[in-house]
Amino acid sequence: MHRLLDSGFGKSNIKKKLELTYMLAPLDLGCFGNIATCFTDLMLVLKIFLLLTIISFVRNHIGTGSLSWVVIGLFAWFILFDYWVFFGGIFLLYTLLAFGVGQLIIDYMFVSQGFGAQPQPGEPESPMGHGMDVLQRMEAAKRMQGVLKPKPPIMMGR
Amino acid sequence: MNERGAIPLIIFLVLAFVLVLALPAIIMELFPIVKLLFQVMMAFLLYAIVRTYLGSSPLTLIITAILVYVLVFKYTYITSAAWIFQTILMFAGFSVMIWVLGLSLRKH
Repeated sequence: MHRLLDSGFGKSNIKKKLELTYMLAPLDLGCFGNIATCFTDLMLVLKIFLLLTIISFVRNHIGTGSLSWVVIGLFAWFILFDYWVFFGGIFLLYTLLAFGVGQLIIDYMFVSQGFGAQPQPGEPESPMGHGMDVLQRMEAAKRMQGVLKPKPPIMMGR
Repeated sequence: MNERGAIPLIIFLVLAFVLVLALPAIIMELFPIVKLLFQVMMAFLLYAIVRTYLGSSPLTLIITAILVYVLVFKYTYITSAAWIFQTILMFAGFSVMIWVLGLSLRKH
């Protein structure tokens, strides 16, 4: 497991990172910079924000003594350097979910329900297609119980 | 969920998201003063965020300086897109976009 995680961006892979940087050097995005340097810089920003989170978490629990700095150092070494591939992904997911990206997925799922295929004449309808369908079923049930008056017959030929 | 109409919905949503996220960069290219205002605003915002975590200390200024250099000066357009994404998400603007696009693309 450790070897697998270290194969991403571990200490021994600086040469690989440099090779990747040179390989992606032609991919210049103009005002957006270069993909490889952009990726590295944004990862640095993510690490800084994770470091701030660690500092805030440890200070809230231990206080501002010298012990807190030792614990912060241990956490930072473990999370930011040793297992960064694992914790970086989790922190990115946590940040996105905290911003409310999950609600976009939920909204899309609700909206895309309306794009289902219409039932064919022989096929049974969905038990709960939409609000109007539920309202009609409730009215029909009340008419059967005698709560509502039955509908008047439609006069033909007028 | 099916899915004949859902694929055009995804395409329209992606196009709408890209258009909205590219809007600050377009405005900043058209009006340079907006870029300056955005940079000042982001610098204050980053300082406030870091001060919330660390309090008022020299470390706050150092970390703020690093973040301001990377986010505000080096990647202004990406930061502006991320900021507008977060702001619109905060006010549930994307939910409104999804509902409006979904209802307008639905076949009755």
